[in-house]
Amino acid sequence: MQRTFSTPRGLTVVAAFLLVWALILWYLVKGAASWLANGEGVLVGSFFNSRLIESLLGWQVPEFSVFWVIGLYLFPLLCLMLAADQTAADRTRGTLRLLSLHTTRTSLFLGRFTGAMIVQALLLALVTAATLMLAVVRNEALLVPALDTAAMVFVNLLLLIAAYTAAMAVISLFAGSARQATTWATIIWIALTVLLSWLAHRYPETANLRWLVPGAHITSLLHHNSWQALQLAIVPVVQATVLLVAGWFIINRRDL
Amino acid sequence: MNSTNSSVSQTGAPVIECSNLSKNYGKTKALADVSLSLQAGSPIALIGPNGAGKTTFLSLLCGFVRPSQGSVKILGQAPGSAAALQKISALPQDAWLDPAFNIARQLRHYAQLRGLSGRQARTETMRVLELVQLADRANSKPDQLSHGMRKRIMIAQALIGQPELILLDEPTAGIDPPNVKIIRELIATEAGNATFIISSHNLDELEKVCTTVVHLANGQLQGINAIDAAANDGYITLTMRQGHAGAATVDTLTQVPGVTRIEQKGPTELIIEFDSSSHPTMDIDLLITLSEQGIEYRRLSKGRSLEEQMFS
Repeated sequence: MQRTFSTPRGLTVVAAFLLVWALILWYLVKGAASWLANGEGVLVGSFFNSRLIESLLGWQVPEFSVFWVIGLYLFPLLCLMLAADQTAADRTRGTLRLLSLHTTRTSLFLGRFTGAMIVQALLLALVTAATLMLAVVRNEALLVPALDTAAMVFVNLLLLIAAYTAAMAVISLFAGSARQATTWATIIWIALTVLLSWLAHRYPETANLRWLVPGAHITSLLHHNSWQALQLAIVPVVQATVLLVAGWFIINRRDL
Repeated sequence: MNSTNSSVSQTGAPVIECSNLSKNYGKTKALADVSLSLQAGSPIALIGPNGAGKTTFLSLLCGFVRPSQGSVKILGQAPGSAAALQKISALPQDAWLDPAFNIARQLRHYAQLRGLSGRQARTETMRVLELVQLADRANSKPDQLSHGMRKRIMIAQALIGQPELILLDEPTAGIDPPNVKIIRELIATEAGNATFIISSHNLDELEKVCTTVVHLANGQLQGINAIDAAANDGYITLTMRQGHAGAATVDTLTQVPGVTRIEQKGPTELIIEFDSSSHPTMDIDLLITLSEQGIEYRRLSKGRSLEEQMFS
């Protein structure tokens, strides 16, 4: 956390994150929400007969429907950068050895994961609050439903991020730097997605293997616009737990 | 020099107990079947040539690496366990502080990881920085310090929480004499509060602070030796001024009654072997001879250097 909020490099990353989201909120979320609120989306929905667009039109607060779609894909991508340096640089520099002289490896591993989660939770809360403000500024009557929706979006996105952050915790154990961790994560995700798609196509009985990969439930989440989305929470929770147990096993057995 | 196979007795409880300890890196045996027991007390030197297994041995004690075979206990605890962490600390080789944060902040963090409160951690940070005489650099970042200062900061890190056992891997490597002196004096001062195990190639420095030597070579334990006066009995080391350690000087000193052998080591050093039982005041006899003959010397010390004792 201190590395993110009190070092030039960390503050630069935070500034870039906020800038990207400011542009998204101002130009995409605000514009699309007005468009959806005016009922113009109904025409598009009927034209494409898309379940997704129907689902988006079902949100009481349109700002959050756009935020939801973008966030489900963008937060995991940002997580690959924000959570990349949990242990990688420290291990390369030898600082992890120093730290391991003062606390257990388990505490180190879980502490770094928790820190990465807190940082992302703060940023997510900030961006969610900004979306809430956009909705209320457009229509004050939306305050109460927007608060409920904001909470739902925050919780579900946080759970999604938890699975990715746990994956980055494991990858960071092997990478030599944050950049390498991000690169490896990108390659692993693309390779796994292609491989599992091919397997599912060739051997349909392996289709359920896709649930092993963080983000597997994003497509399903897109169709939810209420707290019912928590029905899928088991997926990221199990993924994060399995990855953290694997990471705990690895850090306690490998040489530093 | 007294030598035993695998243990040395000093005072207090054993700080380290190893049994058939081995570590392989692939097909390379870095440490092979080391069994030893070391007691708490005066500083212990860990010596051996490059590749002897010193750093691997210390890494095993710190819990950085796992044994391939055998077992090791630190103060009765497994290395890296929560119980062991409260009792030991170390200066690892090639491990550095995070360049992004200042010294005090990082040391406070280490202190808090050891369970100290924020206020205690601040006090402890200043205590260890004062011990290494770098309290005025508390707000500097690691990159702003010289190599010697960084070593001292790393030693300060090892003193946090007043551990019972402190492992120092090459504490004086590559640093200048003033920094070496500060580190030596610090070890001598703190030796009453903790047991030090010091790995180094600088045998002269080890000799000044250690009373026990663990000798490793080719990954194997060569022996554990206690440096004591008896082992040096019958030897005097003379360091001469340049140009005063030649054959003429050797001939002159050989004439001194009781001298049985003189060995020339390098351009200025003479090791004089004598019969100590019949000539207990040989040092005075030698000084008188040197004075009478106008032979200039820089230093006379009883016994032989650690290097001579271990490798001659």
